[in-house]
Amino acid sequence: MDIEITGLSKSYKKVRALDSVELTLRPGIHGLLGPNGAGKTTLMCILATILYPDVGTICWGDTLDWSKPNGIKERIGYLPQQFGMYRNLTVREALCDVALFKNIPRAEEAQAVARALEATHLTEFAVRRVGQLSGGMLRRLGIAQAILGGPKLLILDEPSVGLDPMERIQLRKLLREASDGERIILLSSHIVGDIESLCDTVTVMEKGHVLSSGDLAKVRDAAAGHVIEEFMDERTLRETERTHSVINFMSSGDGFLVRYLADDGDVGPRAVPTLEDSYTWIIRRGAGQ
Amino acid sequence: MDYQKGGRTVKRIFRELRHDLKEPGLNILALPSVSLLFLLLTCVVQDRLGDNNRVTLAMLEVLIPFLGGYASLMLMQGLLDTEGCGTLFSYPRSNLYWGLIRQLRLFLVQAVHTVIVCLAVEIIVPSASFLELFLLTLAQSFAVMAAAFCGVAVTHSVGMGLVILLAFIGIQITLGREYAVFNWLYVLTGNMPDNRTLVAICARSILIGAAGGFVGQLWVRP
Repeated sequence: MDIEITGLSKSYKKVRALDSVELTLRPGIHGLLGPNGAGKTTLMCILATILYPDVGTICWGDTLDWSKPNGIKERIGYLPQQFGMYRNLTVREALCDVALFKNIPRAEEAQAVARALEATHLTEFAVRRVGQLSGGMLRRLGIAQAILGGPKLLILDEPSVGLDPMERIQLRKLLREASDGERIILLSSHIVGDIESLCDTVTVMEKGHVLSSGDLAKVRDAAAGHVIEEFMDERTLRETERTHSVINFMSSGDGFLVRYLADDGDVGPRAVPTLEDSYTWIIRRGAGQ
Repeated sequence: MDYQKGGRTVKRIFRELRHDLKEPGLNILALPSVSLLFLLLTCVVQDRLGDNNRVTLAMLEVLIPFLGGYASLMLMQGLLDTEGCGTLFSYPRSNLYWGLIRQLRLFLVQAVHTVIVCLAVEIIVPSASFLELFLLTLAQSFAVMAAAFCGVAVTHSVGMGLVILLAFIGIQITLGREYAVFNWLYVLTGNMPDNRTLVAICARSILIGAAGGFVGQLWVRP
């Protein structure tokens, strides 16, 4: 079942956080990309039934919609950007209480908690107080409480923040396993690599607007023909940085291998765009508009 | 009658209450530990002052409801004043549950706490009468806890809620001594209140409690 978001708007006093957002979320992993203040967290909070939109509708299949949030809450798991709850409980106690609040039947609770602990590699820390966990472990606990009960809609706001590289790999594995063909997983990240390696579809947002949305391949190809990759010395690199959007550069021998967005009329060897290239292209084009 | 379902509901309520009392950590332990300290001091004071003891009953009026108010604040910390606390609102529980229902359960815990303390005071202080003491302290607790709940809910800050709680009590026991219009809940003479005073305080407490609870509940949201 798809989630259809239609005409969604939300303002905080004078700030328009979301402006007529139209989006379809299909089963699979959907990435949200955008700079700070793009509206990603606001959108996620509305989907998590924590905030209410000013205008617009969200429907899930034929029977569920966000104007009746009780039916939605039973089916969602949410990880906020910052997670610091239950500091005085042990990890297991915290998850058991989350299971209680999520109305997971008592008979299934122990198994559900064990599964969540195992999936997030927290089993050995089950009796440790949450307040004593490291940042990465706390993040994993946040993911554990989100996935507890196998929700059909998983909303993860910057899930890989605070995770070391190994933990990020484990998270990617977890999410790929969780994407079972029926579940919708929505995740936001500043780490384009996470989105590129995980997501089936991507939405790029800026200042409350959706700038681009679609299959990963389609969004990644948005900058096709507009990315130049060439070798240059440091002086030329500094000059290029002043005049173009340099996406990336790597030290290579006596100079640098530089990747940048081409303006009309630029001559240079075109490169196959990555998602990061296209993201930068889309944002720049959106700003130009 | 579905006894099994009823039994499961009771078990669920006790589990939820256990969470509410455990989640604030050591803060909730302030209730029994400070009360115990108060009772120990009461023994000393009563021993020294005997029939002239005007301190204990006045202290009881201020301290026990304050502890209830403090517990009300701590109950809301995990919901309103912690990183990521909005997550709780994504669970299938109503705002009414997170607010008033949990506060009312905490009030029942406070009632048990008040029974124990008032029984002990009646034993220690011969002039004390359990029933009047209990009714007075419980009524005061109702209003003070509602004021604390309202303060933390409106400000989404335990710190500000504590300031409001202290101001609510402080204005009454300082200004209220000189200007009765500022004292709605306290006797503070150190003597047992007469029935008329008790009824008046109970009535005002119910009004303040209802108003505080209503306004506070409106602000229980992410």
